[in-house]
Amino acid sequence: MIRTDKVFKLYGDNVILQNVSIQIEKSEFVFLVGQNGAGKSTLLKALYRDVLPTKGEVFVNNVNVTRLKRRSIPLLRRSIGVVFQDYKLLKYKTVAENVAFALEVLEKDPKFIRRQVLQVLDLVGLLKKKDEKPSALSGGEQQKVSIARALVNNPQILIADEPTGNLDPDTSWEVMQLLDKINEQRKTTVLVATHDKAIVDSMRKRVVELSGGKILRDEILGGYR
Amino acid sequence: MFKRLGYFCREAWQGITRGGLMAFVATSTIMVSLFIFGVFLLIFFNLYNLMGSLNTRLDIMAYIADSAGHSDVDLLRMSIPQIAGVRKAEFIAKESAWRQFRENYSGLRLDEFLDANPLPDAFKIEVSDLSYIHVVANKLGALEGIEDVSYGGDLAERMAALVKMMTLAGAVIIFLLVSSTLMIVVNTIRLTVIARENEINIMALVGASRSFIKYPFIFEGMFIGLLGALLALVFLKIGYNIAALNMARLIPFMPVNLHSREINLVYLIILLTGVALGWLGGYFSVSKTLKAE
Ligand SMILES: Nc1ncnc2c1ncn2[C@@H]1O[C@H](COP(=O)(O)OP(=O)(O)OP(=O)(O)O)[C@@H](O)[C@H]1O
Ligand SMILES: [Mg+2]
Repeated sequence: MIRTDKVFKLYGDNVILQNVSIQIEKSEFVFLVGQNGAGKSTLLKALYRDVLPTKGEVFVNNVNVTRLKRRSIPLLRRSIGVVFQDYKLLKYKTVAENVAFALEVLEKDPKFIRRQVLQVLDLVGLLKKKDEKPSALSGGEQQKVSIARALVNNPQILIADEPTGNLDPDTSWEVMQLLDKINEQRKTTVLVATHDKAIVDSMRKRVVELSGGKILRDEILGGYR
Repeated sequence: MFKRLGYFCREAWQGITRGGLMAFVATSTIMVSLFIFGVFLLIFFNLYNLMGSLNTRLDIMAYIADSAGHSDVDLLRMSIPQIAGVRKAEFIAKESAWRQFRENYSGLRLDEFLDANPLPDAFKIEVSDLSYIHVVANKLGALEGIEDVSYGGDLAERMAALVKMMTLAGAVIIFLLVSSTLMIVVNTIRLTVIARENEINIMALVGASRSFIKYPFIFEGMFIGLLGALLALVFLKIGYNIAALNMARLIPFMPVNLHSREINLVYLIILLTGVALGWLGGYFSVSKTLKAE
């Protein structure tokens, strides 16, 4: 489902990713861990073509993402739901409109959009705030909106870059349970970058650790360490 | 595309309301330049029509000397059409001219004053182009057997020169006007685009296609262009009616003489130009940002 082949990324002389090769199968759940600056976000961005590797290749659904034509990039991104580390909400749209946007780009029927949006907002517990602008939400609530938007179109792949970075322990736990449930029920491939040691240790999933842009370890039932 | 029309319009409207002052500036710029454009078009069409009506009177009359004999007239009949710029030459015998004259001015009871036909034989000559008229008239005057030449020359010539100049100056001014308006519209919408660069980026990351991102901005430009054009039309209509009224009173023989079909054409041109300006403005302003992405 996802495969990176000897991926390098350089910014000037700084090597951010170094010979990164991983393979993730359909409906796998994978944690990506590592210190600040290890290259986690950069690797994730390479998957939805927000970053173009300097060398090496990336495949998503057997499509070579590194060779994608500019016209086809939106199609790739629609098959991947992304929870961004910095949320990336449209500040002039309400919570509901932000979530709906991911369906509007797919030209879905307005009634269908409404139903889906309400359902997914209920799922993340933000139904009451649906008409608020992002600026009126707490950091954690904004993060939940980002999660709702990533989920709303039932993507085959879900990428979450520190989805619990701003959540309190209980809510973090809930959100991770939610991702796990989506992985189990919808067979969605889930890839989560996180610093949340307690969660990684207790969920016993596959763990890939990056350090200085290199893969340090890749364990089937790993811990945060 | 049509399914998204509602979405694009809503987004465009949001863009305008959030653009606030800048949208107002763009709208009024378009309005002012389209108004000037429209004034030019109306004046131009009027002059053009006036010229058309003069044109039918642009015959040259070449009067034949009494002393000229039949052979001289035959010679003229052959040589006049040879002159460059002559389209048609028609011999008018003095008898028929006199008959025509008496018919036209029957109220004058000319027979009481004149017992003989005072008119000479003549050629009525049509030139193929207004600008030849002077040259042709000179050449006619130099011909053997022609006593006198008359034509509505001066006025016609000046009219032709004026219309030519108007066309040229108008084209230059309108070009400058339209291009500078386009620049203003581009930069105005560009400002809203820059303010929303982050958002455009987000849209792209969530999977919006380029056209999906672009169209709201293009529609925004079109709305602004349409609004500016409509406002310009209102002022043009009012202005034209006032001008037409005053012209008719001040210079009755030179009425403001546009048919409603031509006026509507001018208005249509204004509207389309406005919308096109807005479209281009929106397109250019957002293309720059998307290219960088
Ligand atoms: N556009 C860029 N230009 C230059 N350097 C960059 C750019 N993006 C990222 N970097 C550098 O790449 C390195 C890795 O960044 P990245 O965001 O992938 O780290 P991370 O593992 O996600 O860290 P964190 O845990 O803090 O989110 C950092 O040192 C960062 O400074
Ligand atoms: Mg990161």
